[in-house]
Amino acid sequence: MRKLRRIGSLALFFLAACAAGQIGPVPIEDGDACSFCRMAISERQFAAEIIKADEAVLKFDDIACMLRYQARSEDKSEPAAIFVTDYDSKEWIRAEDAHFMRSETIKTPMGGGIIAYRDRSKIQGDSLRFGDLKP
Amino acid sequence: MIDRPLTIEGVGSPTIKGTGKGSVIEITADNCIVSGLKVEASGSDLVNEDAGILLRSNGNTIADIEMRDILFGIYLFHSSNNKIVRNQIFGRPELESGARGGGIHVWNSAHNLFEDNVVTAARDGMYIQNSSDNTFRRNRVFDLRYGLHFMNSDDNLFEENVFYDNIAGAAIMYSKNIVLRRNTFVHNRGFSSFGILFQDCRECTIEENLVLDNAVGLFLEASLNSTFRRNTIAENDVAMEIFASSENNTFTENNFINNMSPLTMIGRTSSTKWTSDRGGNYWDDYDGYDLDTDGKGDVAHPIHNIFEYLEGNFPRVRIYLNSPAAQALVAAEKAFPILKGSNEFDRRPLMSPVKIDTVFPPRETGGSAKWFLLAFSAVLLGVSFAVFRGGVAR
Repeated sequence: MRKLRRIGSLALFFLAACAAGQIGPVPIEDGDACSFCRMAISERQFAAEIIKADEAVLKFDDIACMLRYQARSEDKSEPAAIFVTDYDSKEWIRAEDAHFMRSETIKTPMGGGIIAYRDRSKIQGDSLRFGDLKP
Repeated sequence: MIDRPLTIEGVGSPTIKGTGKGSVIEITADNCIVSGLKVEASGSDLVNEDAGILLRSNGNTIADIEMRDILFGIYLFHSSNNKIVRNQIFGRPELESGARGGGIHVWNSAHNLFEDNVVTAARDGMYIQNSSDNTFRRNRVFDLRYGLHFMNSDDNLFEENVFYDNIAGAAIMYSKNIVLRRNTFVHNRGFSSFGILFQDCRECTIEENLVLDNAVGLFLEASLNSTFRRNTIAENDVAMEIFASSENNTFTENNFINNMSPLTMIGRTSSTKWTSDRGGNYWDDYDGYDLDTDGKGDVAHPIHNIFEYLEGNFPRVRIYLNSPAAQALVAAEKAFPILKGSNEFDRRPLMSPVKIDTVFPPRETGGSAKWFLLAFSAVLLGVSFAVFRGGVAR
């Protein structure tokens, strides 16, 4: 009975979480491949992901791959969430909360040269917001 | 740091040991020759890209260097007209592949020659970015992440290189006019892996390569106007995976032998040409006939496999690709083709395999840069002939 109640409360919590519309990031697993360039995602600090409205997850090994994907994809629907990785802590942050640094001298897996930080003060020089990034 | 033109020639291969910080040797002067050394103990900073030898100048020769315990091997940074020959690069096997550096790392560098190098235990064997007009010949790359990781670099030539036992053989992206000739891609079998991947490439020529025992042999996405001829694609789980975004490619005179599935086509249909005026390809499962004995089958060969259909709908079934149930399904589909027709046809399939005289080197892991060549292709063709004749006898 107690077990049942616990399951019930978990289910309720889950429903509430969904209702609040807070879609969380999905971790990168060993063997995940980039949805754009098809290469394995092995350098976590550059990873990005799109969670679509139907909760399908697209993972990318380089922020530039995500931008290229968005530019080429025929699916122009608004995604539920976009996450990028804080370069220092390797934790997910929402793309709209992140500050980006872009330079040819930053070596990212696919040569996009873009990294993201939660904390703007980590960036010397110009920083960009997600909406300003172009493929 | 070498900042004036110098020749350093090791006698009895002396060792130059780094301090464990930065690159061991950095060359900023043009026209240096560095040869016959052992180079060890670079720094460990991935962001700083610590290397065994960092080249920042032109016209140098780096030869017969044996490298161990280095993060990156030989790094070409804005360096052109260099010769990188007969070097052996052993990275740091104790690190995860993502934490290692590139074996031969080429960035914004043109007109270089890379011959007879050996690379293992690096992140990517040869990493080439924004570098045109380079030549890569007889290099041997094994036991690492990507044998070749290649981006935004036009007009490069690859001949007789060997890529084996890597997570993936070669990933060639955003480039045009790449020529791959007589290279070998064997047993590259990481998760969702491939022998050669082409992403956004155009006008490439892929000739007489051996693509053997990979998860997916050839993978093409958004790649155009390329020619694949006289390659042998054998023993792969899936011989080719092609996205419909790949247009106007030609496959002719290739041997497709003993692949579990010949083709996974993603998207509706492609404008891939499976035959030219020299005929189509050899498919070991072709069951048509050749009444006019011109060496070309009289009945078109549909390039498809029951498993492609299941896999497209349920990707997880690939786990069962080699199971008896899958084999049974393949046999059943051949006898009663009810599930799905194929849109892809080779209209002039070849009745016998194309004879390819290329000599492929064996897959040995010894450190010797001298190669002992074997008639690998002859053996393979022998096997395929046997299979073919066996088929006729039945």
